[in-house]
Amino acid sequence: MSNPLAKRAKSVKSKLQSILTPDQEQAQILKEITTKVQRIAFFMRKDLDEQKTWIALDKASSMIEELSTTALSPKNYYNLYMLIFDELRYLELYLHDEIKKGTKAIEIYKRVQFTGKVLPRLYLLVTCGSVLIKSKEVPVKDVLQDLVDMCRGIQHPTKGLFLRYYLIQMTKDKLPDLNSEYSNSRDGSVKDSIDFILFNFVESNKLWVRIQYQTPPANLSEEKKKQAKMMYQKERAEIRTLIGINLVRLSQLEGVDISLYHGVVLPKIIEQIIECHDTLAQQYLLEVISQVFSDEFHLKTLTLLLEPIAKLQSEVNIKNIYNDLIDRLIRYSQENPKMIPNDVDIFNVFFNSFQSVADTCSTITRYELLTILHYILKLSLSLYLAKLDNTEKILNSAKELIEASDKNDPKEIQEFYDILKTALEKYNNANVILEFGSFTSSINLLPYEQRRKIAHDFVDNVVKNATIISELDKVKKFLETIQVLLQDSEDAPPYRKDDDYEQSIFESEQESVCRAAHLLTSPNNINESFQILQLLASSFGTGGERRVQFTVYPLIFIALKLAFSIQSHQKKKIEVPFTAKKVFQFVHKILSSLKAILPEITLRLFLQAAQASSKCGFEAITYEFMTQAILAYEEFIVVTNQQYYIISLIISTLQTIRSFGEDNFSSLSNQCGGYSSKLMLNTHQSRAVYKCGYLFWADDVIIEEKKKRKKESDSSDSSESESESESESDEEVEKTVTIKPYFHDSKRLFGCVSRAIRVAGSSMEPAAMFELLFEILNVCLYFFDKGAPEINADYINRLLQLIFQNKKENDFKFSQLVSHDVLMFFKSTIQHIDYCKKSGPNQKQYSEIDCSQLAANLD
Amino acid sequence: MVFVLIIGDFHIPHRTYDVPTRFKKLLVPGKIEIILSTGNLTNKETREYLTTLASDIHVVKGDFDDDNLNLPENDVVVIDGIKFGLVHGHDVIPWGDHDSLGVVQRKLGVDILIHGHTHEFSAFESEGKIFINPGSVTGAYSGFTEDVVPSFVLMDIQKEKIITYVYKLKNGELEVNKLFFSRPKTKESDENFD
Repeated sequence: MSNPLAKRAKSVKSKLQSILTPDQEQAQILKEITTKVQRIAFFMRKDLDEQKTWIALDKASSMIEELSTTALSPKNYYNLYMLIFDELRYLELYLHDEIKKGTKAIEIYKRVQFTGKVLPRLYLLVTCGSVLIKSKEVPVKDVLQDLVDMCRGIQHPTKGLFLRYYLIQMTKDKLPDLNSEYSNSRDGSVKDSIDFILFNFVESNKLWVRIQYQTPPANLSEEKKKQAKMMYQKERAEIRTLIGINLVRLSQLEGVDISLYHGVVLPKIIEQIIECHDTLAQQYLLEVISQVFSDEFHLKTLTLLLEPIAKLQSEVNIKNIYNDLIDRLIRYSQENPKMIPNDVDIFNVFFNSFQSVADTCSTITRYELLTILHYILKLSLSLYLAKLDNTEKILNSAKELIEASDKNDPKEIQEFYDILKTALEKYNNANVILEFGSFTSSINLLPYEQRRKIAHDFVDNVVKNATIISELDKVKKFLETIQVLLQDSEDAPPYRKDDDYEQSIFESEQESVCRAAHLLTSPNNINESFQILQLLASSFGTGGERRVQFTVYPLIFIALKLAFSIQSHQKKKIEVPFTAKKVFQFVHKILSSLKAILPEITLRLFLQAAQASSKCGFEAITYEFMTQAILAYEEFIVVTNQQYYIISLIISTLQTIRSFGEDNFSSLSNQCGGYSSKLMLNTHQSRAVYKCGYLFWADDVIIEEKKKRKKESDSSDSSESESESESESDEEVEKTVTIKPYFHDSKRLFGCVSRAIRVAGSSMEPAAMFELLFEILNVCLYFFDKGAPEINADYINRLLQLIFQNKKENDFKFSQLVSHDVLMFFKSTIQHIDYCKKSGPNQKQYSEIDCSQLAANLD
Repeated sequence: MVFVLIIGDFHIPHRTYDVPTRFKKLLVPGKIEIILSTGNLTNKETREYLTTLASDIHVVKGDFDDDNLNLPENDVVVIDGIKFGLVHGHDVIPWGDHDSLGVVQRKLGVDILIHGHTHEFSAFESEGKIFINPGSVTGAYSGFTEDVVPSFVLMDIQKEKIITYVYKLKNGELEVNKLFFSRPKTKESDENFD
């Protein structure tokens, strides 16, 4: 027991063994009384066995008298009561037998009325009354009436309460009810049972409430008196089922239909709940109602049931009452979706009740009100998901509450956040959420941490469901809603880059934003998509470097996708509001504005833009993009490894662009060549230079040309077939497939390869040198295959000779010069040459390549 | 029998928002033993997603992968006796060129070369070696082609042959094709030269 008195008493006890704690004292009293009762009971049963009815009844009377004690706590009193109850049960069974044998029940009933002491007399009357009902000698309703009236004789709260409990227990199964043997015109109907129980309930409740008003012994100090009062309250709570049983009985009556429940039962209970002005009783009884009566009843009596809530004692936990009821109704509605009445708007009933609580209860806290709103929202979302007005009402009310607060109470803030989150999760559709007038403004009421959390939840929801937000206005609202993720907020704590946790949250937020950006688009509406994109750009543009380094990617790629889409519309002869050029200008503007702060990212994106614009046939724009990339390389890329990596990307990109005229191409290819030869490391330089060779021998152009020729001849055969996908209708694209002489410049290719070999051969570790030479050998074979005149068999033989020569000069075995992997590379290259000599389209040319000398010295 | 998932060029969140739901439903934990990824994930979350599918994961660095992911430029993985080479492909010039891929295959000394970058599925055999490009699993934007078809490859390595399942989403419809390759003769080619 957590009784503070008991605890202290225990510690004292170790010093003073003779002093008893209150618990020990109670136990001792109970033990004494129990012994006494058992002793009397023994003799009573003996008398009964010997058919000495009247003597036994006297014994029963003195046994019951023990219940007159006031020394026991309610809990211990209950133990005593149960003991005596069992004995009275025995007595009752005996009396039944006597009735069967011919004794008149009414006689016994009359006889026990002469019992001298009032408490034993009433217990015996109830016992015999039960026997009397069963005997059917008198109308049941009269007996019930008689008993319930007489019980008024005991006004001591605990004793009276237990007596009434005894009455309700003994009359179980004997109440007139639908389909019961005690229901007829003489014995009464379910209405009599209802009156009987309600009367007993009201009386019991009054007694129960009074327990707390007992006056503690006068000799106690003020503090002790206070503690004693608290004790009474606690003990009272422990025996609350003695009241609840009345409501349980009512709920068990089959005859209580909705009209009796609504017209008689519930109003009376509610009346008592309000009138008793007792917190414990109000809280408990409302809980019991919600639990014992059916949900169907609740749904049909909601207004009545919720009516008392605004009138309850200030300490009653109102939110729990809502919680219990709403939980039940949600579960019920999920299990019986068809049983939800159409004639009542359940949301309105709850919402009105909430409003009257908010208006009248001066002591209810904002937090509790928010909690209640949250419950009502949950109910509304499970019953009337489509009624957006309901949600709007809840959000507005919650907003008003938060607006009126100083926003410093974490519980209130959390509850408000939870309300928004519930709406978000239940609708699970950003387009619906954005319909609400108050969602966005609600989010902006939250403090920074919760605001970014709910914004992140919102963005993740869009991504998870792949929700396309296709209207400009909605996108605008969406961006407003998640503003906290897009810009620095005034109320944010100072940004600390070294805070790893913060950094990981920040990254995850920005990535979510980037993902969602792809869903902000109007499919098949180029104009609106572009407007959305411009809106995104201006919004992302305010994010500062730490955000833009994430958000610039989706911005550019969405734009490039849009450019392609415009292009494909045009190919299909679908009208477009503007050409892709406008989009590329947009891309250029964004990248130019960022190149100083994000040089490497913008460089890569310039290359992507160049590839796309060239595919769309815009030579001048492509040239500008390539130039910007090269300028950025020159100005910003300073780390050696990075230089090689980036120049390779630039060369590879340029290699795919065949839309350039001679001047533009020479300018760009010369710059690539120039920067390649300036690379610090020989390995980098050699590789970059041979990569430049690919710029001058465009095998892909030859293949494309062949394809096109074939297609033309195909389509001339069958004039009907429209090959829409591959046919290049655009004039500028057409140029790209015509082989321009500067894309087949064997001399410049030769220059690149020779320079690469020269660089490889000079001042280098043998291992690296051989690896490079093997690599260049493969490059040469590539161009040899493609028929570049300067890279002929003779040239390759000379390269093989050079490799052999270098090996001889080093005077080592290959296996000592290079790693196993590199040697294997060389071996498989020789094997590849062998393969081409035996099969493949260029057998004849390959026969001129002589690698016999090396093949024989491969170790 | 070993199931190898070949997947790459996600480009999340740069170019797209997620792996298509249809694919996500197919890619469930417990079926795949090994993942070979051509890279361009490009975020940590995607890498974590892969780790939920299988424990043995090999990823190479794509041109848009962050340095913080610490991915290698290329990788060689031996699976059931077969040597797999793994590159993203941005360093192959010209991009996606078959003959240039042949050079990479020889350089890595592998039986099967897995490569990506072009966002276009391709599979071919050359000189007894196999070349697979799984395409882009998200159908991410690519400068190579206007219409990218989301795709990935699942390889079932059996005793005699390799069954290659190609999964594509064409206009939202799932399309699965089966390709058969005979197992590359690995031992023999080594013996010829040693």
